[in-house]
Amino acid sequence: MNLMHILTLNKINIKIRQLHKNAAVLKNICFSLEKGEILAIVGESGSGKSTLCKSILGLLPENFQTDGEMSFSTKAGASIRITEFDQRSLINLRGNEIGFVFQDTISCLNPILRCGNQLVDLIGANSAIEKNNEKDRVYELLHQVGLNDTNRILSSYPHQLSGGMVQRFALALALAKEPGILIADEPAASLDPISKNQYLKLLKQIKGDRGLSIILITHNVNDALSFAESIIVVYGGRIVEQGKTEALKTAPAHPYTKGLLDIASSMNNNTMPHPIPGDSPSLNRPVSGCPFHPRCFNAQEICKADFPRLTKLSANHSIFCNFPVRKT
Amino acid sequence: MSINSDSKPLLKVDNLSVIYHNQALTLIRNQVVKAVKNVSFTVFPGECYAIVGESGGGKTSIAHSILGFIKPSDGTIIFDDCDIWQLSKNKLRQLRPLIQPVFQDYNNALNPLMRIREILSEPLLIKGIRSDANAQLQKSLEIVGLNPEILTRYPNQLSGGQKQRVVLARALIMKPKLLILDEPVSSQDISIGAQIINLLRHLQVTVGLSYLLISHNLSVVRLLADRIAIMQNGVIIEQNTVKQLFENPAKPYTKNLIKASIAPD
Repeated sequence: MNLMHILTLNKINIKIRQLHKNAAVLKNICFSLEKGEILAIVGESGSGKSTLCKSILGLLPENFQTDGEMSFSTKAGASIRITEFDQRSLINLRGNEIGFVFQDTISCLNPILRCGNQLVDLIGANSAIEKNNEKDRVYELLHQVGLNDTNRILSSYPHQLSGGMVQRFALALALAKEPGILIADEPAASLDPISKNQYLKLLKQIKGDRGLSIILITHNVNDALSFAESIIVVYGGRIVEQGKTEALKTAPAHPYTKGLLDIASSMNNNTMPHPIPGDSPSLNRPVSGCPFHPRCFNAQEICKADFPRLTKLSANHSIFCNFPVRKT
Repeated sequence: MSINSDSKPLLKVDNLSVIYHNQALTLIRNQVVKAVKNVSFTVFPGECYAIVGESGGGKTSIAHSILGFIKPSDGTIIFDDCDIWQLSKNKLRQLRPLIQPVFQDYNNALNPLMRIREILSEPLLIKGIRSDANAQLQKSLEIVGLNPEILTRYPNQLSGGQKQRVVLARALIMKPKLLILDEPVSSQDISIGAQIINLLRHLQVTVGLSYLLISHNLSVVRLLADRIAIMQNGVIIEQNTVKQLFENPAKPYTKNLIKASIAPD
């Protein structure tokens, strides 16, 4: 394993066990997260983005079956395999090594505990920090996430804070144990554009300050393009395109990525967008071959039979498509 | 879209205020939260009027008082020459179908235990329309571009885009004059969002609907709306036509909002 890679997923397949048959949620997911980068996973709702993240944290319910290999290098530098972990080791992993922020933040916080108690509880669970230092640590964390009105925040209940503040507070919780990786699942989806931009800028800044590696899950292509260094595009449970942001931005090769970027740019330029025709696939009606072929303008017979093989366009840009979009 | 501003307004909101009482503290002192403060605006027939502002700025409270869910503490809401909050219950019931909401969270807006046919025909049954219910069902599906084969399915068997269309079809089945769209495209990715934007634009022309669009996404608002009101802390700080607002934003907040939503850096 390359030392630069802090998290590597190899051939991850995730199925839901059902009464009569298994439904495949994710197929053949391979990617690595480099140390100190923001990796965005882009895809529509139901494409399996959140499932992927929960599988890294071992948070999937029992009827989900995960196959494949996940390896991860700890803060201390040891290389471990998450897939061989039992529940107890996973609990140790969560928060300490991998921090996470979920989409619906307000329901992740305890509504009947003041924010201060929730943060102190978490820090106090770490025996390395002395009781006296707890308070300093709390203030430091809050300042880091841009919450300067510390005393008010600490004595408030979660519902008394605004949406943007709750998001920041959840970020402080996720960073309390100084994890090496942060997984952020649609952290800014419900915020208005001003708070959203502030939040994403904050993420980027904290990443720089702490040398954090971040997986940012989002359905907003614009956010991914502006804040991530690498992008993975997921469609129907498959990775269809992955690469550095620059490469994807200038030369999107998969027809789906191209469609998404075209819509994003026409929305920015105030022209009516041309939607991608058709509907996204559902788990109950899996599509054979490439999941995008019913909606693809380039699709041919071969696309219906098998999922295309990996094509490397350059050192840091690869796609799964038989008929990629040519540069114009 | 050309709007004849001499024509009679479809909806006239005048000096509207909405106050929430903090129940837990009323015994100690009467603590109130003013969510909406003296808001006035009009929506003309065939127009799309947008209210844009931060989360918690009072946008949804306005929508809820127009729909008759929250009683305003002050002000009048006049729809089609009727003051909504002065009408008798019976009259209000007759008026209700003409204002239809389309909510943000389409996953929770559909009953998971009902088939799409039951979901769509429920409003017709309540109104006692049985004879040509089937024809109306087919027609509203056709308008939103859905295949009739989904009628036998349950909501969890549909994709996000289809669910959003079902929600729209259900709103349209009562032949409303005004649709209240609360964040119509914020909770899904832009490939579905783009379909919905095109559909809404198409419906505005073909069915002649008026929209009250509530959103914090200015790039969506710019494509659909004719006029925009910018709200902050329960007050409309600026209202103008789309073109003028984007060219000459008067308030710094508006400038920030435009900058943040059109070109994130």
